[in-house]
Amino acid sequence: MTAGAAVEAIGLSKHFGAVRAVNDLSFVVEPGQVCGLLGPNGAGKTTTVRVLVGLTRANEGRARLLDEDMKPSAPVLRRVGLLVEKPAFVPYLSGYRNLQLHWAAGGDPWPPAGLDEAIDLANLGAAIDRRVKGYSQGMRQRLGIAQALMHRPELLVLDEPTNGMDPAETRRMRVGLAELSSRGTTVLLSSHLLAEVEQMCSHVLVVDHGTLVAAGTVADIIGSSESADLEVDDRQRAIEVLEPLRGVTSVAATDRGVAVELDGIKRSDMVAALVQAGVAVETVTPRRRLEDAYLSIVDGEP
Amino acid sequence: MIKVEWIRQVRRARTWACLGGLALVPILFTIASYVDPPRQRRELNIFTLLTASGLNVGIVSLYFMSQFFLIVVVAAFAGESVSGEATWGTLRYLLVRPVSRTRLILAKFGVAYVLTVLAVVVIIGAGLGAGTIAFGWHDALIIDEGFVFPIPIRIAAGEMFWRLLFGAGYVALTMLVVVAIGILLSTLTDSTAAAVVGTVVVIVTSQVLSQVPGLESIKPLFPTRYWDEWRNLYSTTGLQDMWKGAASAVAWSSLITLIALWRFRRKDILS
Repeated sequence: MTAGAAVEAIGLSKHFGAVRAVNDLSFVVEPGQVCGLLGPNGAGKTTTVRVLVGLTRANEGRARLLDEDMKPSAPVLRRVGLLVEKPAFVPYLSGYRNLQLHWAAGGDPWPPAGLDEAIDLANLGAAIDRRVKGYSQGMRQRLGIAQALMHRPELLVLDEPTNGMDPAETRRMRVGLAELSSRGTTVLLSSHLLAEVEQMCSHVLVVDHGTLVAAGTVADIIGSSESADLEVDDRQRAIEVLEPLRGVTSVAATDRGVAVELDGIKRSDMVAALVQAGVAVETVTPRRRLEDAYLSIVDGEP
Repeated sequence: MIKVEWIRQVRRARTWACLGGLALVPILFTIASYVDPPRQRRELNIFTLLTASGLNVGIVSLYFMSQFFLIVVVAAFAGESVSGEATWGTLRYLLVRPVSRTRLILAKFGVAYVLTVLAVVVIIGAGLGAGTIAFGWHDALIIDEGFVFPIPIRIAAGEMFWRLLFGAGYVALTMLVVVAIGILLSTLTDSTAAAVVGTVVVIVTSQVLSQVPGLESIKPLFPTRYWDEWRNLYSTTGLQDMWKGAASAVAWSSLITLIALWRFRRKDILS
């Protein structure tokens, strides 16, 4: 048991008949972290979230949220904001009324402390007073986020939070979550969008077949490789300059430039060498991203 | 929690449609009886006495509706209570608030039962209202079966009104069983239709078995065995079986609700 952990899974196992959805899963999310929970479909992410918040009982092990043992209906849920799978509302009630009823179910006085800013972040405008059955998927998603945030939770557990949102809404949500994180809110975020996780998360947990297969900071998971893709005006000349360069282990032509594997040389030094040789460099992009790291962990791809 | 469930139910058009439907049927057969009064034939029953008074229409409304329509509506109120939340996905959000599952089920039971009582009131109110407009507020005619041939006898309007209210209370009490079965099935399935239809099937099966000859020794155990005993309020036969019916309703509904609570407290919420 880790004192002070925001989320802790201790040997969690959950099986449905012969299927072991979660298998002896242990991890810790420290306060203030924005932690991505990754894994292929059927890896056990949603079951893990459901066990963590008390919707499903673990067959073995236990879960702790905000340093308290978790069980169904535990009081600690007052300090947690949740978006589990997709948002769900009573369709014939307005968005505002849904928020009210959700809050009232816990017996707490209306309104919760962060209602206005949560509604602002959801950016629903006058639609908040319209019936939910007329909402688009993105609007429901934003209302779900507002529901999770309206009481300024210390811990946010979000499952695919930007599902159905357009790029502008996604960006707005990302900024909002970053702001919450800077104020000390812990976020456990399950998502299939690895670019999103890479941008939003400080830490990552990767589960597969119900078991934890990797955990650490995003930088740890991606690795320290300085490999990069370069867009250049003269590919042949770039290869001639880079190949003999000390610390460059391989150079290969790509559609728009060259792909370079580096070991012991900074990208900035490599670019300086190219510019000195008269090669114009349009862009430099780190080659290995979370997606590559994730696929190599889950699928064993190089 | 009760307030939350109450708002959820009363803001729903379906709730009012169900209650409206229950009111409409007595009004329709009052109009039909007014336009074409039932002739008094050799066979004397509560239908042939319908036009005697608005109170008689109240009696017939309660009898006619409690046989099936009321059961369907009560099954809809109770059967939807948990499964409806599961269908919408709101159940998981309700249960991630710090609200105990026992409290949740009891709140849903309570609201479904209040709506059930309201449904009985609507039936009686519609029957009495339409009947009084059509046939006036007079002494009621009931059937005395103490003779070789049943004969109609007159009961003062005031006394009959209280008998009718007592009968309505008894019907509402027997509906506890329907609410309990609806809640139980609602915790067993995420399909509202399955919970509602299942409830009606269980009740109708019990009603049918209660009529089958040769099961006399176990008939008292059927939850619907004593449901029609309230009709003795409108004849001169005894009322003792109503007490058995009341005890049976309380016992069955308590047992079934305890099973529902036991089941729901252990249920994995996967919807």
